[in-house]
Amino acid sequence: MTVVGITALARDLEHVPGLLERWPAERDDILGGYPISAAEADAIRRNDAAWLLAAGVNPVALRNLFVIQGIAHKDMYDVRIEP
Amino acid sequence: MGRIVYSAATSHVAAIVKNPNADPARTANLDAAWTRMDAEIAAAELDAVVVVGTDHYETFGLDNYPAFCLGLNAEFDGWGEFGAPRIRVDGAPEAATVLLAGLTGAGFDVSRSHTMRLDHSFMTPLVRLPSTAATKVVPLFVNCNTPPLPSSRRCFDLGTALASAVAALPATDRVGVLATGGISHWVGVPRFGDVNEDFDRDFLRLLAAGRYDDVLAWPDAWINEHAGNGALELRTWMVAAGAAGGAAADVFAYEPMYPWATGIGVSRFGAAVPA
Repeated sequence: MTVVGITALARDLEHVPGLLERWPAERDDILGGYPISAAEADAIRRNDAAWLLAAGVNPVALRNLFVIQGIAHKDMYDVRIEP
Repeated sequence: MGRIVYSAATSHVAAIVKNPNADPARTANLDAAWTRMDAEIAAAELDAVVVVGTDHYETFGLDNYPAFCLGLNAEFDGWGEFGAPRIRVDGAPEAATVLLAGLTGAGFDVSRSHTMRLDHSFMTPLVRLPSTAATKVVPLFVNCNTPPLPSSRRCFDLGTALASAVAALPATDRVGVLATGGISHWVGVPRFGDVNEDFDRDFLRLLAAGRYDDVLAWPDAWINEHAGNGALELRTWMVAAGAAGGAAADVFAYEPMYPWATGIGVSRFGAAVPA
């Protein structure tokens, strides 16, 4: 059900007041509030769109997750942070 | 007795209103098409317009994701997501209630929402075609991005049923249908930014010839491969085509809009019925 958790996170970052502002400083705490596996949380922290797509996240929700964080749609596959 | 007097389709990317002059050589052609369509909608003197669009995880999430959903609000607010248009438009709850009953009676178990908000798939056309926004709006959501999707055939048949349901409207007698989405584009995947002009032109050529069976035979996997996941939105166009009785399309314009990362089509299905 982790895809559900990531999709909910993306939606909440857009629509829950204050969540996006808290995201940079409280990312781990926020991630802990969703049913997201450790590997998926790591992929989110590393901006690994390819990994998340392969894991089954809907590409539309994935686009939202990146764009709401200020990463342009065209750049979302070019910003992965290597481990 | 109600009847559908205008049925049309347009792409809905928010860049249409966010970045309208991205490529003046091409947008001039599109602007002329939208101006023509807007004038036709105004001349049609619609009592209500069914806007057939989708959603991009703004209104619906995986907690509850319908195949079809009709909006019964008295008013509809836009999300304004990512800079998309954010306006408020009037609904037509009494007409929508009649349509819901008619579609359900025809075997289409359409969900309903009394609190629906609308993303750019509805709001962009409503802003670009202000005569539509000035009409009472009945939004019809179609799942275009969260498989399994209702088939294109099912969507065409839904349009046919919509035309029958409109006939049961007692007072709101002149109804329009405006589908939104497509044509080729890739959303949230590495191929974002590409446009398949050949696919787009073939699609529009088939519509202009009234060859809907050819389009309805395309598997989603084939559409996804050749025209992107965004082209799965073309099932909204099939609703409008079905509502127009399968009449051939008059293609007003097509442009491959690479700055907007999508092929843009503007078409009317069948003739406009004068007021």
